[in-house]
Amino acid sequence: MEPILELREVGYSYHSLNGETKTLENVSFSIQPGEFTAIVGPSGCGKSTLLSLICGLLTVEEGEILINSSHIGYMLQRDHLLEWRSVYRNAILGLELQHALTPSAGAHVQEMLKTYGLGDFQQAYPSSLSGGMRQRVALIRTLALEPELLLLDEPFSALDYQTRLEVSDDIGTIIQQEKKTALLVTHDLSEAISLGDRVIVLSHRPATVQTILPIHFEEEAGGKRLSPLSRRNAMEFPGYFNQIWKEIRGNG
Amino acid sequence: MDKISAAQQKYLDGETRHKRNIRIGRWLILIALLLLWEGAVRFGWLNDFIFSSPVRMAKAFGKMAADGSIFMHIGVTLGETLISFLLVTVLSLLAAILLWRCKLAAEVLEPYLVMLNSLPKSALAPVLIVWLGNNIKTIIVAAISIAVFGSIITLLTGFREVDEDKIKLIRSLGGDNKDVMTKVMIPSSVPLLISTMKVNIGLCLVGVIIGEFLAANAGLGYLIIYGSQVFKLDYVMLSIVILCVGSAFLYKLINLIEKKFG
Repeated sequence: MEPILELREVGYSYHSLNGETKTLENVSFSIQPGEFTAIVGPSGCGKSTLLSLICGLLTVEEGEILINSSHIGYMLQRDHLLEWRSVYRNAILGLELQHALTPSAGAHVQEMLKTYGLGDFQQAYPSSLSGGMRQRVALIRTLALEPELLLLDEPFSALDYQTRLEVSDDIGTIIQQEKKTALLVTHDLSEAISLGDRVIVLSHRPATVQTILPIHFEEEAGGKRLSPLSRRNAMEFPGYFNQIWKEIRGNG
Repeated sequence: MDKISAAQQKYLDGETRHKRNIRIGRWLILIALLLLWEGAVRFGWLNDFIFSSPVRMAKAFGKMAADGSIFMHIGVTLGETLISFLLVTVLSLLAAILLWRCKLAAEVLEPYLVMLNSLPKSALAPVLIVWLGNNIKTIIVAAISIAVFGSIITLLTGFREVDEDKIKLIRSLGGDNKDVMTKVMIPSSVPLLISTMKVNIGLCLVGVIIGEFLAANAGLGYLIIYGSQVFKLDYVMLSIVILCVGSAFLYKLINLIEKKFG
């Protein structure tokens, strides 16, 4: 199958008056439709830069990025809900910006809000929602545009630990149900293993692909995917954790 | 409703009393000032020809109210203030948006804005009369010049403090510059806009009075100058008192806008 996203020897530097900082060097990988890929790496290694490049917010300096998707959704670290808009109006922000707010698109958003436990909060304002609910609204805002490829930039890092487990479980499940291709960037190894089909390990700055590790769980052999929480309890989990941990430490 | 406990009732009574005390205190000061002023004049401690007195001011107000002239003066000043206030609000918002959009222009113009902002604008008034004539244009321009530069600087600073990630969000959802402005910058700057408006309404009143001192034949500023020239201090003091009440009224007006949109 043709990959939905392919990076070929991508490089990028930040420029300041004090000089040039090479952030990414020779990054190559590709993603198949329907796949959930997680990228881990030491903090500050340029993971977010990578997503900004894929999304087109930054322009590639070296190499090329081939995208075989009409629309990319980008979920940022914090939810960035606009406090002066109701939950529903936040969820349709993207549709509004793309002038795509048809009655059926609006109904679809309402349907998603209901499905994911926000039905009673459509007219509420973000300040009355919990951290986990806010993050779900942010995901629905991204999904409303029906992206084929979802970019997730540490979407759980601003949450407390318990909420974080719950929300990553929620969001992992939602993404599976909606059958989206996703690229998750995180510094949390267990998060990457609990969500990803593959884990890409990046090296220190300038970041380059160090290893690509496929994740397999025995219990998923029948084709049914485990929820992120049950993956954390699976037998293979600690093994993967140690393996990735060694990779990251090894390049330090 | 649940029955209120004795302690809660005591607390509520205390709060009510506190509010009432504030109100009484405020009225007492006003009444005491008026009595002191009137008394000082009656007992001959102050010369009422140059200090006027509450009763003399009331008489002057009554006389001018009878022929309607005082309302004309108040109306002219109020009208000029509101016109210049609206123009300042619109102009500074537009300028701040343009300067935010064009970083180069903002950086080039920054020292000029700072200079114009700290220049004592009353120094411009005589020049404005020569350029624009002895009319309402001079007054409005004087008022605008006092408020507009500070307002632009404040709004621009506010725009720059808007979260970069919110802008990134709009862009990642496919929005352009206009969307960033209308969906994020302006809504998140509403509290700032209102606090700037509170400052501006006062500054516009200052500008209008300065303008009327020099280039007017109506308005409270004109009345003050006229009164002092013909030694009718009743007019002068009356105008000042009306200005006190008027500026409080204008401030309240902005508070109402704040309640509605803030």
